[in-house]
Amino acid sequence: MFGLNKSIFPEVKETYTQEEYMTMKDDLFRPVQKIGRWGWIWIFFLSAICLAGVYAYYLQETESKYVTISLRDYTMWGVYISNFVFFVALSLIGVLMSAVLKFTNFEWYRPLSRMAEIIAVASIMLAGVSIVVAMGRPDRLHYLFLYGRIQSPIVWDVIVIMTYCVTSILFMLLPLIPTIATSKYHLKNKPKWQMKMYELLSFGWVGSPEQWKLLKRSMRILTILLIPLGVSIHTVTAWLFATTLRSEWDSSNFGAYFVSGAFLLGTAAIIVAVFAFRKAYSLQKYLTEKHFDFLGKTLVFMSLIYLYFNINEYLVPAYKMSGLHANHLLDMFVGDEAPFYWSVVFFGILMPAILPLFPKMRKPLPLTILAITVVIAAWFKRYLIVIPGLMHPYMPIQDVPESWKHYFPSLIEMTIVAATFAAMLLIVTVFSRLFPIISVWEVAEGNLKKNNNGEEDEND
Amino acid sequence: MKTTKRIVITLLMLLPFMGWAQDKEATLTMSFDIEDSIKTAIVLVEDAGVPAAEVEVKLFAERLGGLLPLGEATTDESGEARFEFPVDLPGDDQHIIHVIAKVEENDIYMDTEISEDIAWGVAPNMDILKPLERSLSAGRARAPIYFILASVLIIIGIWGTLCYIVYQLFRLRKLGTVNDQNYL
Amino acid sequence: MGLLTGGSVIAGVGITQALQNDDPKATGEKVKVLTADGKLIEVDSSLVAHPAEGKLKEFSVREGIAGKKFVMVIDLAKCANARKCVEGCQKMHNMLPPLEWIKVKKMQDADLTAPYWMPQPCFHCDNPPCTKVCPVDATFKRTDGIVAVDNDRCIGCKFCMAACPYSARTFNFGRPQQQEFYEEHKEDKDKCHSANRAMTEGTVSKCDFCPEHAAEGVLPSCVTDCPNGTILFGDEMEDTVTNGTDTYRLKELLEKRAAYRQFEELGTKPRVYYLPPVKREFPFEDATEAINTEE
Repeated sequence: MFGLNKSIFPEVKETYTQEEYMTMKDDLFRPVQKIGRWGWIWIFFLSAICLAGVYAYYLQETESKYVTISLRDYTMWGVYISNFVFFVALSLIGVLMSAVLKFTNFEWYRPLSRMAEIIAVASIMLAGVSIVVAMGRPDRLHYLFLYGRIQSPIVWDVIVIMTYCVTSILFMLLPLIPTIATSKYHLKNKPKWQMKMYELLSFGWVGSPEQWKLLKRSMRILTILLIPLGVSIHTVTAWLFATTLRSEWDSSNFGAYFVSGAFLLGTAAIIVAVFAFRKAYSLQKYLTEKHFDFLGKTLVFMSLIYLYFNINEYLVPAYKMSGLHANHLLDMFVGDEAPFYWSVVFFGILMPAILPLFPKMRKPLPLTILAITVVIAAWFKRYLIVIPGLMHPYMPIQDVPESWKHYFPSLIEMTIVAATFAAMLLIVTVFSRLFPIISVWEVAEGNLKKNNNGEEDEND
Repeated sequence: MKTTKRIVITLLMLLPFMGWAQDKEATLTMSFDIEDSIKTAIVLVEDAGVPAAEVEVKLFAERLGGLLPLGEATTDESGEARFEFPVDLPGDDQHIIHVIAKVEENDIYMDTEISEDIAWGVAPNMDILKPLERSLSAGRARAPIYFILASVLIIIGIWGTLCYIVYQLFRLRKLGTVNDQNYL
Repeated sequence: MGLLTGGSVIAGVGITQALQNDDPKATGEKVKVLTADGKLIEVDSSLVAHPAEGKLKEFSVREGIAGKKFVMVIDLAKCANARKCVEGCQKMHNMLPPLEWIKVKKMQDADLTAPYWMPQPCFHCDNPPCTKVCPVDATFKRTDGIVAVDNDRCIGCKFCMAACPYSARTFNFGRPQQQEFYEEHKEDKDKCHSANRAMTEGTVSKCDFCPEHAAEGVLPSCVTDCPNGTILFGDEMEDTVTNGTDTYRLKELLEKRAAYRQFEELGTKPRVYYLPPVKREFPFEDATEAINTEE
């Protein structure tokens, strides 16, 4: 019996009925208890793409990079780096959904926090993978630790990424402990290794008042820590570009610009995640239309902030049209990159700023379709920040072979990028098959608060 | 007739000597003096002990990969060519400059040269070589102090907190075993 | 006639002697050497030595040559796009086109101003944006002014390439023809050591001001190979630059010819100065064909 001890929740006047609670546990544990046919197909599909990526990487490292990938002296950073930026941006979803919302008393975040956290953890790991794939000498990765220069933004990025990864894992693990402890009793017929894992990860949880106090305090500390860390991680990634003299990246706006873009991406990604889990695991009772309503409004809000930073980033230099920036700005606004650039702005910033203003667009399906386009546009936006930035150096590019004048990712690069996505989805999927994707006790806690405030039960 | 023949024969006999005239070797001697408080390099050109006049001499200072021209002068009747030595030419760390005097493309004499070291160089501007200081561009051992301090403090602060949290996790386990009562 | 024959014999003997000579200092022994344009000159025998032959066995890429601070001056009035500097550098470092450590660019500052050819090596900046960002100290500024790359340390992140505003650096992506060429020529005695370092796949390399030559008092290949004497090289401590034939006091030259540095406003403090193309020796001629077309 989930004992809502009055000493912890003194304001509680009623407890959950046993029946309500058991239904909730059944619903949320069902995807963990049983993996259906489509579940297995999905996992195998993702694994296949991951394996293709591993093979592609093997080819890249054993054969000449000049042949396998499209990088050349002028465009020495390509989709691996823009993919890395994308994944770092995506990893801020944890900051947004869990930490920020925890502080704002927006209770609707509760069912979303765990899925946001696992997406964040998976993303930050894949960001690391994406960067290692881009290195010319991955066999010298340990040099970063042996010979690292503290003055280098890459070293800052490595430090912050590692710190954020550990913090996110802890941030995900702590609220998971009560659920893991419940898993030990609730799940039936699961393999021994799985049960052993639960035993280990439950950290001796019995639900005593002292344990709750310790848990809540630790969670509060982590929540406070996570927000500046998350903001730092994307700011430092922005500084990988802003600390160079290249005209496209020579902007004091870059840190804030990147972080605001990350929040937009995070909102769009959580919409997709909520829709997917809702459908796949039949969680309509817990991930309701109200959630989509709130998320839609959040999407508008984040888009407007991002739009503001884009205006500052592009339109102000365009007004000045300084000789240093003219080439790449004109290229993006009216030149070769124009169709690409304007589509990304339209689908990635303008549409999410306007469409969800209509209540009909905040229904699950339309909002999810919009969110998917925002995620895709966000990926291409990072591409537009990295590659055109390299195609317009200060000294003119003259008399070089054709392949040095343009950049288009090779098949191997595209495979590896696809594999990073597949790996991220695989981590999230496997996690959701081992642990309930919605935090049982956090939802219960939220409902109780609501019940005690006399509002109608959200779960109807 | 006979006189003309004699003249022609004499000329013919002299011809080889004219042709071999460039093979005359001149000896050069370099000395340094301060005349009227002007640093002067003096090059004496002698032809078998006899001072040679009207010989063009060039003076150079040896530099990395090339010879810096310091001037040209013609020898006077005493066979001496005088050069005003520059006062601001950097020498090595002992103020030494390797000076070379050359006689080149002279009608009478073969190309010759002589070189001497003279400590008339000024100290090189050691500011150019100032030791690499702590900066953002410097190597890993020379990061600015404030930078190292700030980074270390921030890292210790954050990782310290994380270690504390992990420690709390293990305390959690201990708390679980202390109390037999299972609330689950 | 006899002189010439005798001279070339002596030159031949001198060169052979120098090759076997282990002493790097000036030997005091004068050797008559025939230059490329048929002039007979006398040089100290140590200058005839080939750079890689035994003298620099302990060459360290991290240590600057003591007491020197290298500087380069490029006279834009003289550059005619002969590209001998490019070819000389490529030959000395076992590089095939399109790999270039010194590039010759056609520049035109404004519509109404005249175009000119601009040879552009690495500028070895005094405030290098590239060394700032290297995560593993693989590229660094030496005491002799050279910004060097340690190919055994480089992890191939290419951040330095992104940071260089002059696009001076190049990456070894393992181009098959280039790697083969490196392999074939890696035992060559008359090439710079940095040729073998740049062979390391997955690392960055660039113009290094030929420190192995400079340590011997020999000028870099780009300087000596230019038929017009466009590039002048020297030691700022000696306040002199030379292209082998013409030697000038550095400060005087820079002041008299109104020298400038490329993108001075970026604050990188390059060590390569440019003399504006005033009083050109010949009119500007455009290039008639593209050179680096092979992939």
